[in-house]
Amino acid sequence: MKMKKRVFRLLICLMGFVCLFAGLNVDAADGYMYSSDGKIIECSVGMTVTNDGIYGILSDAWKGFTKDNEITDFNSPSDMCLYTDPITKEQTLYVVDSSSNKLFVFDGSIRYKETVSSFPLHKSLIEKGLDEEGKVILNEVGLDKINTRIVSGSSASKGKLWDAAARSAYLDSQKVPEVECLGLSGVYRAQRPVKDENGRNILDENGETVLQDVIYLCDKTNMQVLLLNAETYEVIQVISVPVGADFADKFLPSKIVTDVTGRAYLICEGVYEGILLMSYQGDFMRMVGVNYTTLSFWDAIKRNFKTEEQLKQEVTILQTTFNNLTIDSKGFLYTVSSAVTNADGTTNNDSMIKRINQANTDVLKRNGYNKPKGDLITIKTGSNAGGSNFIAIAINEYGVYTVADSKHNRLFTYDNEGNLLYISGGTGSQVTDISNATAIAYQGENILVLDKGNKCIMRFEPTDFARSINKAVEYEYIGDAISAADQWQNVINSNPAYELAYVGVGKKLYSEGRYQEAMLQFEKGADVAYYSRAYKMYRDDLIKKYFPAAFGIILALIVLRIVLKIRKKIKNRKAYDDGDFL
Amino acid sequence: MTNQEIKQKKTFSDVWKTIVKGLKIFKKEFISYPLYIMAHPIKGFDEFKRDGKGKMWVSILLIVTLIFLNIAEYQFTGFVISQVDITTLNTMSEISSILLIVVVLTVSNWSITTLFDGKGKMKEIFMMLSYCIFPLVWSKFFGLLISNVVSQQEEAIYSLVIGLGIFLMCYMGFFGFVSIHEYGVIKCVITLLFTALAALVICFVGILAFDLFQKMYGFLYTIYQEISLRYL
Repeated sequence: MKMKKRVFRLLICLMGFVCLFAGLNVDAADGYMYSSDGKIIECSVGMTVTNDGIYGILSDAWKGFTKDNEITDFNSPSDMCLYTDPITKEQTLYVVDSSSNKLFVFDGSIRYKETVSSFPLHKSLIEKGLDEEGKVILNEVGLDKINTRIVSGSSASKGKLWDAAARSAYLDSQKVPEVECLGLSGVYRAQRPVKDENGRNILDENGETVLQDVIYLCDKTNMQVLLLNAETYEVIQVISVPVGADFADKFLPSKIVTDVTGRAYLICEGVYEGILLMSYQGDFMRMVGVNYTTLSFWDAIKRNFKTEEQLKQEVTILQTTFNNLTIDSKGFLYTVSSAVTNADGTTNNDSMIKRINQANTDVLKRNGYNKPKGDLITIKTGSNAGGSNFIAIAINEYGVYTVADSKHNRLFTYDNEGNLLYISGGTGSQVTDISNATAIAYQGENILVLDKGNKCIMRFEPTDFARSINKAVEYEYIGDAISAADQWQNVINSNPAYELAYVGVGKKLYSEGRYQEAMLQFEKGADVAYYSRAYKMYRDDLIKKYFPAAFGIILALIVLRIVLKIRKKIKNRKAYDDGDFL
Repeated sequence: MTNQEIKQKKTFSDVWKTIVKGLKIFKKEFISYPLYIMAHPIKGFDEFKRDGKGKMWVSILLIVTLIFLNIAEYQFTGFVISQVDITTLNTMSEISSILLIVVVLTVSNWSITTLFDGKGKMKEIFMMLSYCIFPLVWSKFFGLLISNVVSQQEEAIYSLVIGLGIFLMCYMGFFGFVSIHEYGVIKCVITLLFTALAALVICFVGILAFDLFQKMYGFLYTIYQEISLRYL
């Protein structure tokens, strides 16, 4: 009896112990994924944000760093740029605010550094733009075209920087005029080569190109892009309204990235023709990437028969503008836009994400089970009807990109082949939920999300599940199928319904020549192309193994038949000769 | 050896003989004759009609085989060709879809051809249509085998086999209509167009009737519910 009790007690203790660990292991957040046939399956959330990963006015993250409550101007943050110094690897985070028109600077661990609200013109810019009497030289650097904010009463409006007062102030006391921004909506920092007057790169004594560290600011309402010296925040160049272009009155730059040669890609509000490519000097070169709307066959015929008057009354069909863009280390432009609305009212959301190369074509790989377009199953009616609407995109060093969906505030992560890896975030009322993301950036494995609604920066960290997936994808990216398969096996262990992982395991088996096992994995992973490849190899093996024997038997049978025939013939002849024939 | 034993031996050999005989008939009726029709459609269907060479049990067996093949396709088609989820299989819908097509085509064709001086009886039309399934049955059967040994690049072979079956089915069907009703080619085409129209009308009426019955059932059910909640 006593013994029984003891065993019983031990059992209870053990069960409690197991429960404790089981409880600890359960992932608090529950997410979802899409299976190969587009159905929703249960799956762990990809990335989560913890309470100490929220950097906002209300959180304690910036306490002690700000003086005079500068940070409370963090009002309507519109864009963010994470810059990593190529040599020191020191990271700097820039955030611009379209309401307070300030540039906030943070360090890599999102500790507050400083706020810049006005940007003085660099001396050389003024000297270049003024003659000896202090008058503006027209068509030189466009000093007279630079706009600044004028505050009158409570409202701000656009005004000229270089007016009579500024000129006399400069001539009297060398007081450098400062640009104040209006509607700051984009920030980007990059290095670009310094060029001489002929447009050639300037080289230093070692023959290396001299680089210049530049911050680009989209001063939207002022209709200009400011190029700042990254250390002193002095304006060194201004990209203003392009001359002669028919969208000149709509030059409202909202997002900017640059390539290694210093050319800038600009998204302008209200310009439907695509992304503006600006030269190093700031001149308009050409349009890049267009979201073409299509006219259906019947609509085209109908339009043919309509009169001018009727056509005038029709709703103009506009191409869809881009929402955001980013550039990877190889110079490919990644863009996101809303779904393209066609002439007949249908929407096409197959190419909301684009990867644009130098030849201006979309080269994004869409080899996944489903096209990368966010949510596949969507609500049909109501205010939240329709598919995902991408607002921002970020790409990491091994081709994995994440897009932010403004409809349900989710983050969708895809790999470079277009496979959906995991889904994170979602609408909600907790502090860890995204409310209105405007920009995202990769910081190593983590993702920084700039949230306009919560007025904060959130740091999303991958869960163990997502970490395995990331590692697997990275190994596959560098071509190490064996290490990738180990990681994929981890993924399968935590979620057997995750189909992509089976393909990863299958690839390893395939490379090891275990085709039959690989076929099984590919079938589980619903990958027909790889299954077919494995099957072909398996079939070749079978043929190699059995063909000689089978062919030998067939040959032997044929020979036997011939021999029998001949024997019969001989027999018949014999019978004929013997006279049996009659 | 007793008499009884001899008798028993006799019955055994009799059974064997009947089996062989049955198999021979099966081969002749189920394989050879449809093949003959396929090769000589006009002559074949003429004999089919005139000499009563078409057998009802063959036509029903052909339909049943097609139904079985359609169901087997879910389970046994190679992964390269079809990735259909086996759990989506609904046997009843597979059966009814094939039966419905054959029956509706028969009825609509009969109702049109009686107006257009067609000589075919309804039974003949039905049997002719089921004999036309013959090439489809074989192409599906071989397709099933082939689908398990092809890779993605050789998918065209599978499509070719299935396509050939469908083509031969239509070919047989057309000449079948011509011979059964003793029509010329142009008249046959015209009646076929009208048959399609009639089939649509039948479907429309059928759906209408179905809807009506459903509504009636709903009405009666609500009355029953009212009564049962109030009085029972």
